[in-house]
Amino acid sequence: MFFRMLRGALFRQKSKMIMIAITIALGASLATAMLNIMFDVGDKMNQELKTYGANITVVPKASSVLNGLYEMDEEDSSAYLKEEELGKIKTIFWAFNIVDFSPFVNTTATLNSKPVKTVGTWYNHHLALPTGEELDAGVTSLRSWWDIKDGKWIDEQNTDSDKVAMVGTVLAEREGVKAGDSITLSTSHGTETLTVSGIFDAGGDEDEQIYTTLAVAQRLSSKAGQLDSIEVSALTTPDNELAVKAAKEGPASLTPKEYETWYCTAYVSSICYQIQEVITDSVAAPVRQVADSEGNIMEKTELLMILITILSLLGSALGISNLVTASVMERSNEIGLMKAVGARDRQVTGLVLTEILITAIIGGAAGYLMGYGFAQIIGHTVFNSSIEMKPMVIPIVAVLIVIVTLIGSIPAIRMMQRLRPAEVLHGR
Amino acid sequence: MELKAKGIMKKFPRMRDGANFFYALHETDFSIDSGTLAVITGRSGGGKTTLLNILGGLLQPSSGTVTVDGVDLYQMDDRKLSAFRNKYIAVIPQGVSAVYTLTVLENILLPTMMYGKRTDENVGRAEELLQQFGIGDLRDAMPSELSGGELRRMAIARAMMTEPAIILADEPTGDLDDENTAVVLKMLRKTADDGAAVLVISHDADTLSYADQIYRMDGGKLTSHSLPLGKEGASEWRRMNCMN
Repeated sequence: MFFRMLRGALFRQKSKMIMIAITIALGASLATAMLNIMFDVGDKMNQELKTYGANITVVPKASSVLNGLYEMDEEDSSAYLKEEELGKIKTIFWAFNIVDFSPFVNTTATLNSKPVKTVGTWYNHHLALPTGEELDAGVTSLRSWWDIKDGKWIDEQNTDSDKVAMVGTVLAEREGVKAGDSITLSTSHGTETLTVSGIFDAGGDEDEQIYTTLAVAQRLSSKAGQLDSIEVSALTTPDNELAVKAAKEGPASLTPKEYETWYCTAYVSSICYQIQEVITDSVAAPVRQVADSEGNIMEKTELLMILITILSLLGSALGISNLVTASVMERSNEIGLMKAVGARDRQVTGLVLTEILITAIIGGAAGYLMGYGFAQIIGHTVFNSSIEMKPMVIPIVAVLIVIVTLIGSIPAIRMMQRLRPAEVLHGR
Repeated sequence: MELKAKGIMKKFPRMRDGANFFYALHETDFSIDSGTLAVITGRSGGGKTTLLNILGGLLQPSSGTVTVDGVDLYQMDDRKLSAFRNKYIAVIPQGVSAVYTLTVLENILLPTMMYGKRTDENVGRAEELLQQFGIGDLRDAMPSELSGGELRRMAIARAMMTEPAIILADEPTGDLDDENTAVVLKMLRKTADDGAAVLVISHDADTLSYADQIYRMDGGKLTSHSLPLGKEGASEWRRMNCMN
């Protein structure tokens, strides 16, 4: 009979229950969309922010000190990093947070009797790590904002020869170079004839430079197995007081417990510290502007999402409160009768709450699907990609809906419990 | 079972601060024993329904006690009082009272379903009551399909479903024609004869001839006390109290 009363109540008050379901669906849809975006926004924001470049640079310790003291160019220093240690970057504690990295060797070569800064690096260099992980690393993704005006990026995986180069748009125009041409670069250490793969527009100093493979630059500068710097793109956690203390005073200033917390959190400073541990005689430093922007934007975006979620759920709770109270008022005579024939407050409350919760589940399910749609619209509009639906959002939204529904039902439940059969049955 | 009210009084505050009160029921003693059918008459607004609700455990009196075989109704918590009401006291409210999502049969079964399951025995008794009240063919109808008189008969059948020791009926014949009035009153009389304590509030003079005790209530005061009546006595009462 309970289920019959339940079914009857749900169908007899169809329009009211539909209104309650819609109210819940709207709240649930916004909560679903915001929570999914919030959980996915970290990756999305990082992907977005990665397009602005690496957030950690690694240079030789000696070079770093000299550069700091005398503002020297890196290439003037005689200190180098070891190429053979590059793979170790992906073996640190936060290895999975290292999304990309690329080594750099800088030299000055002669092109058509004019000095040209030449940079050797990786493009889409395939790495098979000792951990079994495979990775394509290099500037193709680290410098994704470069506009290829002519030709294409150097494709290390499909080029037999390492004698390829990309020329900055200003230099290419000045020297009349275009994709497919051959250029000859000379230094005191040798001469290399390279095929131009593409002409790029970086919008900066790089437009007057030549980018070639790491091996060519090492040969031209006689730096076999040596590197001038490494740029690393890592997913980081926004700094807090602990991270600031570690960065300013050094990890040695931390207590053992603080050190453990700091080391096991993906702060940019702890990732830098761990890189220094694996790359001999190196100094890893965060590119503060990028790292700080990432942290700030992430925090603010997440806060905004949480606020929207809370407000939408509050709105739903208010709507539910009004609708459920109206429903109880409408059925006060029936509720009074049930009490008069011996129904306990708990039984009547249970019946009404079950009705509302069933409606909430239906509304919540519809809201989740709507939220999925909203999330995709927002994802495509803001990030130009779809939002990955996180399974953990389902239980969170379900719990939130139950809480909101129960909170919204409190006034109606109190009203029901105060309802005196003597009054309602007498028509008051 | 003896239903006994001692010194019960009900007042409602007229203003929010409770400085001024409306006395719906002045201090009253009342009792009714098993096998008795008592009728309370009186003008509307006299406090009859208030008294009935207090006696039925539905309205807490401002003072006084209501006991059933010495058990004070208002000393019980909601859980105990609800179960006690379900088992021993049936109230037939004034006007329409039905759960509109249940069929007529299910409405009659409602009190038994609160604390038990639907059994064949219960269904059999409900069907028997349906027949006795002349609504047997409406077994599976919904309350919204019934007339006022049919709804009233359904409500009385529901009250009798658990064979309660006490039946409190507020204008049970209000919407009924003469034929059905007679059916209902005979059923109430039989219930009293079978051992129940039956209290009927009514404006209908026909009820008097079925009563063992008759009271009159006006202005919140139970002014007349028990008066054994036959058919002649009822006519005399009717004449004295200007009832139709």
